[in-house]
Amino acid sequence: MNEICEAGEPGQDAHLKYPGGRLPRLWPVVCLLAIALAINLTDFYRIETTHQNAAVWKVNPIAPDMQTIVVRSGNEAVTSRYLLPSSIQVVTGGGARIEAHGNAPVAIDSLHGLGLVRSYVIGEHDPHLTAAQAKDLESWIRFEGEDLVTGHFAVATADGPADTLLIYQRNGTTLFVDQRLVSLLGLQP
Amino acid sequence: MTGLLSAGESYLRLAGTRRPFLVASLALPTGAALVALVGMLATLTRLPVRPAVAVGGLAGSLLLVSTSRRVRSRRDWLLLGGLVATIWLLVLLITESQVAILTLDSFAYGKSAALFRDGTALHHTAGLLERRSMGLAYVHAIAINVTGASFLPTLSPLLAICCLVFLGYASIRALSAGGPSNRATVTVGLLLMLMVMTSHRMAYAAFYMNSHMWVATCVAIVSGMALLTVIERDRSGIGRWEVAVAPSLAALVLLRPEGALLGVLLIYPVVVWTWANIDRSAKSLLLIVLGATTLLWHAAILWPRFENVPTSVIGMSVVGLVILATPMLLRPDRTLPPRLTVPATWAVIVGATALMAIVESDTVVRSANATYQNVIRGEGLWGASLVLLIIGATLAWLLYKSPPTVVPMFPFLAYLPVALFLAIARGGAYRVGPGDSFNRMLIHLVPLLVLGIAASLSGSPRWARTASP
Repeated sequence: MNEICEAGEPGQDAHLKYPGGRLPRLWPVVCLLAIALAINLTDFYRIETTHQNAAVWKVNPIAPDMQTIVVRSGNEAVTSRYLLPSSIQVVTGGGARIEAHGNAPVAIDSLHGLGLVRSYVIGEHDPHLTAAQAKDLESWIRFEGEDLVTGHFAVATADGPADTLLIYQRNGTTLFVDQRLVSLLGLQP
Repeated sequence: MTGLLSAGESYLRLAGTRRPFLVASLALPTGAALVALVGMLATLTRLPVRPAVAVGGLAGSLLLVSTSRRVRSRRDWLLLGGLVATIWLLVLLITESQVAILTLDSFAYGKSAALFRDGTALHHTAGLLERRSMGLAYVHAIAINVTGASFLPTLSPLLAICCLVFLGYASIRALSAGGPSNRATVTVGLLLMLMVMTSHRMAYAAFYMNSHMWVATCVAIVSGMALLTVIERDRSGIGRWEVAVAPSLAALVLLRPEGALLGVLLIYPVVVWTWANIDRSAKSLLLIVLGATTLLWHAAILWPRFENVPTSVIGMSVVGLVILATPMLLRPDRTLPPRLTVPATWAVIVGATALMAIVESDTVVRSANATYQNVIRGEGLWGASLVLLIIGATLAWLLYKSPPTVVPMFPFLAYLPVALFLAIARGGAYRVGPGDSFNRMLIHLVPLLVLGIAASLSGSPRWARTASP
């Protein structure tokens, strides 16, 4: 490491010179890198085709009907089933007002209030949720501040299977909702 | 995106950066980092600066200043126009492809972004800010302000492209040992780029709404620019590299809770050892920027929000204070012998971690086992890519003699024990699976391996006689 020179010292680049002033021959390195690249590509294909939830290109595209839902107040549970057109307005018994704006008709199967989120997530309601995923969800909800998690919706599109939404709210601020969570977590039946 | 690009381009021009590849690849990440820093100052002062206003104001004012100083030639204006057109095209393509990866972490960032829509952090809980920091959420909140969308699906892919282009350019320049490039150096540089592109976790991170790709880009920029400065014979067009990388260095603090530690490791080889092309003022600037950001974020913003201040916040505040005090210790007449201090520093880090490991042996053993499963046994979904890059970097370092290799390789080697330390500090071992936090943190280190390979190959083979100076 002595080649690290004092500032301004001449000959500082001596370590860079190959005998004769030529660059080192890099073609053997090219061959090795090409082999490594082939291995990489094979692995990429294998992972893409065998790990559904972790694949890059298999992830659901950004939904054109991505929902924006605002919960005005309250956390009452709704257990009735609603089949509504593109715009949803649900007023729960406890006064919670839910507005959803999207292109696709959705049906709300059940809405669990704050107190029920964890029991739903780690309970036996969803046989598709693995123990590890449930643990992740539980620790995440607990850690991130329970007051921000307002509801856990199980919904179904009019022409599709049941889906799940997680909904976040604080002081009536807009929530962040996306149906893709379902497939990412393997919740979809 | 145009605002971020324009702000970054103007800033780089003012810093003296003129090389087209550098401007093209650094503009967007630099602009994003500057906006995140404005967000931090707004949070500190409690001024409700909406993210869209921040990017608009920053881009406008920097463009005005750079134009009035006439730092661009006609060719530079054409380049800026071309970059804007390219960004629009890429945004269109990426949006049309409708691919974005969201996990629970993404939702946490999205939640934070939604709360940043009015430019304040009044509704954030202290835990949310401490765990997620604010850089990513603040920049994603631009989408909420401008289009009403929940996040910027194009941010990660565009940062990934910038990171790749920069890594390719830096590798080719390093491989050329500062001289003109030839077919072999260009081919190796391109192959290294392809190695990164085809690593499954890197491709995943390129579409993942999380901070990993941005952090990897910052790491590439800080370490890569330092490497270029050390290795290039003709440094014209690089400008004041320390000014150019300062926003990316500071952004690390605003992107990850452990970002300041990563920043320290990145600049350590540059600051502690003597390099012919890096003067004391450059070192001091890097330290002041990193130290001030760390101190402001952890001590001035996070600390007052907690009733019971977490140890991590106290610890990082102390780290910030130490970094800020370090420039006073830099003496031009006193240099450290690199041959001793490289292994010595690493030994100190390993030793400190080993001491903690005695107390928390279970955490260390489980973390090491999980990392083995993730990296070697394929559970982390890296395939062989990470192992191949590590083997390549190690072999190149052993076979070629090139002192600048220490610039990217020291932080890589030092981060491994630091990661174990973080596991002990958080009181939870790393786990098996692609979602494990250390498995994701490895994404940040991939650029260092690429730069390490390129830097090593720029040297002379150890089996050949070195030309006498």
